[in-house]
Amino acid sequence: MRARSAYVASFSVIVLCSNLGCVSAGKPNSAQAYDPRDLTGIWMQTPDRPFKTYPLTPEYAAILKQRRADEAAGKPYQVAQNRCLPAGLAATMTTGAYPIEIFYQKGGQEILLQKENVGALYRVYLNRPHKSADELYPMFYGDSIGHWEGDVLVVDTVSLGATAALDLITPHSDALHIVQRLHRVSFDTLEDAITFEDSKALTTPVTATAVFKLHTDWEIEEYECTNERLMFDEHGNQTISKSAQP
Amino acid sequence: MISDVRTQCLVLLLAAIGGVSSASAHHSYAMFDANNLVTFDATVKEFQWTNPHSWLQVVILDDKGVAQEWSLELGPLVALHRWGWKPHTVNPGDKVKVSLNPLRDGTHGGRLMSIVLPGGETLSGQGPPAPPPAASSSH
Repeated sequence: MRARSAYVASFSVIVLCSNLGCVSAGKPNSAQAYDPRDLTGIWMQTPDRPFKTYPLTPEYAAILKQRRADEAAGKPYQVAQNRCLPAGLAATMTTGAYPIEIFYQKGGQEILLQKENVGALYRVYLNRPHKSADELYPMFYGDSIGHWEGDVLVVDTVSLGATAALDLITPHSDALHIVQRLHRVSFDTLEDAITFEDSKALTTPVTATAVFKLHTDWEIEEYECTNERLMFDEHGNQTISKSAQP
Repeated sequence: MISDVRTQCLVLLLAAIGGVSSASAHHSYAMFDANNLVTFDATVKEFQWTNPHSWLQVVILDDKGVAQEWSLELGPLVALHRWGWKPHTVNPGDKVKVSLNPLRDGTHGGRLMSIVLPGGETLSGQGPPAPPPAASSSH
């Protein structure tokens, strides 16, 4: 991502077009005036990561122990993003290495969030309950529904079985359930109180708050994996190739 | 050849820059020896401004004076923008000084921690330090 050019004035308007049509959203135009329900913009998590520890069940603590041993042996656990797949919702909100752009049209029925790397869109539906169990399948960003409680956007997500890490290594199961409470507490600060509940991996639900700062002068860059040089030998040892892998 | 300018001060600085976890981790860095920071004089062969990582191909003289090509991994281009890099910050033929964590398996490659450009400017290849990931427990 890079800084917006000076000619992009503070009153600029973002237009996002998808198969759902075009979403236009006015950017906040001053450091004082903002709508707490307008989350539009590019947000970067602060360096302080929200979770310091996870209450893992013995079974999942053993999985983590094995992953760490493999890492030390040069055979690291491969999270989805290692293969240029989406990081998944949990890792997106806990590792924070890339900015997230949020698109929302006030009064609309859907909020779109896009993390810079890999570029996957994460959709939060405001107009329906969760899909029924027979419609769900393992997903990276799950089935996410949201509603407003005052100025707090409450997002409930299930069906996150396409990934298996809360961050870059800590395991979760297909039972992971995430509740986020997103609150724009000032013009440039967005707090996300994240609760992980996982009946298989965690002994108790755990909550922590991620803090994001607004960057009005940033742009999201393209992130297409055209030069993947990570490779593994027949024993699972990680190294690099001299040219991009097919 | 290994440069004589490897100083303890530089080692400490770069260790702080690199840390254990990158500000833009795409994969594990277990393949690199984070405890071994080496500095070389090098000639740029190619700068690949790409994702998921950018790569710097350089030619380094080994202990016998034989030219060897090394592959040095940087962050992704999306993050390099943030750290002051541009697509043509380095160009083929540039004489640079590179500091890196080498590959553990002995392959000529490593994780570029910093580079001194022909004009004397120093840039990080991995961005600012990031805190380590959460420590997990079973309690």
